[in-house]
Amino acid sequence: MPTLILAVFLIPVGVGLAGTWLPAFGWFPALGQRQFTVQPWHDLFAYPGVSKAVGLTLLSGLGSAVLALSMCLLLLIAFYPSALFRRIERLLAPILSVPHAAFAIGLGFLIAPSGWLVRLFASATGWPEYPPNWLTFQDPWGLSLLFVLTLKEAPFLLFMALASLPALKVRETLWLGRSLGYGRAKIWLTLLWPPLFSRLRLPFYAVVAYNLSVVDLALIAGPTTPPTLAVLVNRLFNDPDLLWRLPGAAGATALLLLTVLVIVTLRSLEPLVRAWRLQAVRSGRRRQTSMMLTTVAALALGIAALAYGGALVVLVLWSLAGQWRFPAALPAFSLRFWQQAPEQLGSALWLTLSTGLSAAVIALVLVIAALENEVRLRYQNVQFNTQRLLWLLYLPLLVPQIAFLFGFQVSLIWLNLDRHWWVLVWSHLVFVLPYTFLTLSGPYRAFDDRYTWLGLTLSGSRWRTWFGIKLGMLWRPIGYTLATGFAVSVAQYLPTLFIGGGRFATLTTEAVSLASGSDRRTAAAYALAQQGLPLIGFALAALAVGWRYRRHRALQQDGALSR
Amino acid sequence: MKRLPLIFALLSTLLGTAFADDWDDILADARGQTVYFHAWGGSQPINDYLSWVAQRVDEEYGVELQHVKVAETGAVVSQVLSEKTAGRDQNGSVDLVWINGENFAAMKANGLLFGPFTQNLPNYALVDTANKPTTRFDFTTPVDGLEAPWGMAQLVFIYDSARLDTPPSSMADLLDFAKANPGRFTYPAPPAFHGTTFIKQALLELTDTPDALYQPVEAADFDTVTAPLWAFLDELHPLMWRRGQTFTNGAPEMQRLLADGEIAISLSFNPNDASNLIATGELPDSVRTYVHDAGSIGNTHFVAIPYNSSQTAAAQVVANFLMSPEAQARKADTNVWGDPTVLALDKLDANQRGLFDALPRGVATLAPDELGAVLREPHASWVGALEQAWLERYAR
Repeated sequence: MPTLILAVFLIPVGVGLAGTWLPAFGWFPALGQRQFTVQPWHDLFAYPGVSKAVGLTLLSGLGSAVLALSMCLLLLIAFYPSALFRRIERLLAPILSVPHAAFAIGLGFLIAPSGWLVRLFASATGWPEYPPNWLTFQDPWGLSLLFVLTLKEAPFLLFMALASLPALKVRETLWLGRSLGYGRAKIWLTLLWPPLFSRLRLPFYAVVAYNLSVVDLALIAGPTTPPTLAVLVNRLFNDPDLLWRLPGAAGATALLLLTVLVIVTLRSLEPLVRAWRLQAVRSGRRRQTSMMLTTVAALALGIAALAYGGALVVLVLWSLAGQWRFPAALPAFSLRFWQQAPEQLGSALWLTLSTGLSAAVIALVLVIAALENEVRLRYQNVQFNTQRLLWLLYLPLLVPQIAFLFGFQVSLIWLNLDRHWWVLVWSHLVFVLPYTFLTLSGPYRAFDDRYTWLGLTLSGSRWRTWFGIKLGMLWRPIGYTLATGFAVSVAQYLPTLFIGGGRFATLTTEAVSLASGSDRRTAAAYALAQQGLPLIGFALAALAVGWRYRRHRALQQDGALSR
Repeated sequence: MKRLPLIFALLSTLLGTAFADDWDDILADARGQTVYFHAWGGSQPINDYLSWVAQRVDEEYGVELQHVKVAETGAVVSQVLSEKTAGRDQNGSVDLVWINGENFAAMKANGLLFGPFTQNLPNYALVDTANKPTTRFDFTTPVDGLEAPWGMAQLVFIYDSARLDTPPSSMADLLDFAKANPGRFTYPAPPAFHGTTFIKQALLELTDTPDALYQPVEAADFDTVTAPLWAFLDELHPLMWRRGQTFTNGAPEMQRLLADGEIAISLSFNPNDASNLIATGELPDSVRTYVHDAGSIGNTHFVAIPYNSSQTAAAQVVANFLMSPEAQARKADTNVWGDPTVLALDKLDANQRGLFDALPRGVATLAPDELGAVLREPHASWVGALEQAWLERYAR
């Protein structure tokens, strides 16, 4: 049954891939191309800069994913569990709701040579008079893109890790390891990380796939001559010479192949890492964790905090700016853009809200049904392969969007299904569903079934038990799951654009089209509106949980259920 | 009673064919239709102007206009193409699209356009087709009535007069400026069209055989014709913003860099852009506009109707309104948008001319005689060849 539900949500991916592969091999009847050939691949590889674009894609995409994972591990070794970590934990959800593009724009303005940091310095010291010609953003090596991607994905991996950690008995393992004389780093690397990584593997691969194929961020923070492969493919898809769409389709397919190749390689490297780890365990060396580690972790945390905080403040300042010339530290303030906003944002806001809420609620119901089904199967002792289900569920996150949306669009038009609002919700669900499952499955599976038995004994009603006891105790993760699903829907750009030929204008599509203009102030106002909506979602979730548990002291503590 | 509307419809059709001309039919059909106008949505002044247009066509003709804000016109072409691929030859998503140049050439070549229709539009008679040949030839592609002229464009440079007394008057001068002020100039990377235009402008100024550019590229000795261009760019790039290691993605990003003081010279396709950006507070009051002595590339931008639109009557009504003296004069106001008109002022009556006479000339706008000669766009086949050659050299 869950497989069937999944299949419905995987149709867009499958159909879309096929619709991209046909033109990649020369089949494009609308342009009079009706012959299967590998010419599009020749054209693709002959396109200037393609090989370098692949290199840049690998460096920025894979590099940032590995760095994000390392950062996640580093923070865990240095700070978990601690009061500091609990504070980080609480900030994670809102950080995750920050749209990628808004973060990159904000960060770009923070660190550019004419950006806020240099402005602050220049207005204090009088030097430089004009922005220096430094290459701090959009460098040709893709380093700024790597940096932005790392900062954007590390919180996601941390968020996923935190969902799994309670099951690993970290505190106890650390005690045990310490009593044997091992340092924190070695305990984490040899005892805690292996089981944690096996749960993080899929989210990590999703990050790898995302970073390899991201378009909007790479346009803002990536190199330009040549750009990354995804941007190059996007350019081919939009080229005025329509025949470039065939090599474009080949490029999108190449990006998919590259992603698969990278993931397979990563998977096959795991035994090596395991061998190395076993050796480390057998060596029995006990070394105290150096202060270095904590310092580096603190530094990473500081940089991340500065980047997130700074990017947000910069956006707020720009949205309130009248004029803001270099080297002024602060703009001349004007409320113009917020005063205009309500009438301009109205319909986009409504569409974003209705679509996001519908997708989040549908995903929640489906995921709860699937998880309840899992419980039922467990009691019936049916062999149930959750791992395979997970892979299926993750598929839309592992396949580059650009590799299937082009084909999906054609299929929708062909079936006369585009422009329907429910198709928009459906296409968002493809992405909302996996994240909903990821967020909820941990706490839901960790629920102690003895409460259910007790409830059944007392009430005799399965439904009342579920509603009154299980749902009642899982209010917090459910609230956050809804907010997460909503945030994922709000952030969808390409799917929204491709369904209905741009007629669905959400806050995100409006923000992206304004970001293509010259006016930073309007772009900032829209980016903030786009970012504010998910934030309000998370705040409402927290409020609702607080209200629901106002008379349940034991449940008021954050994470009381999962510890 | 049920038959009454039918009889009425029949009668009105009969009357329509008997007494009124085609345009009245179109007006009647248009009433109540909704036009999805896909147009670049990156500029708030332009978006505001289109809101005004929507309000006016609703009042005047009962047409509902929806501005679909797109980030790139190529995506709109893709949309129409996808619909053709899927066999949707009616009821397409796009009813009207803001377009010119290569995108138009591609849509025309692939039969993706409705029309010819411009001869139906009463206001088309007011267009200055005689003195503005680019209203008939879009990047040398014959328009053939498939797109309605909307506005005029000419490549101009924008500079900050607070940092630069005398702006360059030629590409050679520009190189001297870059030598004296390293890092203060850049241009968008082709195939972004502002970048390609800059390359074409440089080629027109620098090549010894400009005539070759008006023939198909296959007929020319590409390497010889373009050699001076590459020599110039090879010298210019290390002196540019970020030493030419990274480029901007279009004129909007260039204006941001100019506003930030990162560069001192930017470019635009709208001669009134600088004035408009001063009016909106994006650029400092000290920016001014200049052109090179040799003149600069000019063209026209248009609106076209895709072949599978089912709202063609209303789309034509909107296209006609966009060419009206009222809409054109408002568009030309630098406080609104500042996009130059396609109309011939001597074809207008006194009232209509008055609308244009009353327009203030923007502080940073060049007088017509200062704007210099308009250079024709090279043959369309040069665009792809130049872009590929540029990418081969500087983006691999």
